Amino acid sequence: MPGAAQPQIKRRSRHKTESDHDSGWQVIVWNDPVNLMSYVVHVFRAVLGFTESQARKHMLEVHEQGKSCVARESREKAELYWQQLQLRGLTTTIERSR
Amino acid sequence: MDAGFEWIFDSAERFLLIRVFEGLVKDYRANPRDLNERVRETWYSSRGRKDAGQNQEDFEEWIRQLQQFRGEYSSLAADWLKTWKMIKQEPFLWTLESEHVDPFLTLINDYRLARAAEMDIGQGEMDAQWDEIPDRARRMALAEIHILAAMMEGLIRLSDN
Repeated sequence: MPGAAQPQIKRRSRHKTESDHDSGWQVIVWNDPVNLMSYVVHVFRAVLGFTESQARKHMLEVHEQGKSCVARESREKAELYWQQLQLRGLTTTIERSR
Repeated sequence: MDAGFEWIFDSAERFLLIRVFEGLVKDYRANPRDLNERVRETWYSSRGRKDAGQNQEDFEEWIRQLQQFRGEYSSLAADWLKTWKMIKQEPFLWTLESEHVDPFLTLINDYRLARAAEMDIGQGEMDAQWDEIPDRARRMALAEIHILAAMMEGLIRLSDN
């Protein structure tokens, strides 16, 4: 419509929400020569609550690619997983998601 | 309710488990500073500290918590040891409660990791044939690692299915 003021529409940048921070940390499990594949699957199921096929997929990733990101979580939860996995003998680190 | 797993040991297996768990109880109760350097780095790894943004104080608290968990496991291991040493008949029947499968596997695995670290056993040795390892002590450590792996495989197969 001529003369009518155009609505000012701007794309607002989305404020970071709680859920953005929630998945800000990656939990990474690294390959090693001693841990058994079946044990790694067992630990993934016990600690991370993975199904058999999820656990197997991540175990194979660790075995074939040297590492696997097994979770993206809040700092607190990532630390908890890190500790639980390390306590069970898996070489684990956490880092900020890129 | 699932009561657990019945395990029948012969004397050689019982002897091995007693040796393994005695070693674990001793090392779990030790100050990490007093452990073999490679074992310490395996059980109380500092890897990833920097990426995790842990300062010295955080790291010390982290180690304290890991030690606390291992302290709980060592009490469990000490109880099992008492049972294994007390019963003399052969073959020897032992029941592992379902709730203790995870700690039992963790303990045995920790021993395997520690022996491998102590003896500098890597992928090459893990894949090698018995007679390809000239050093007797390393060969013995490797044998223990493989025998314990077979025990773990059996228990995992039963417990996860």
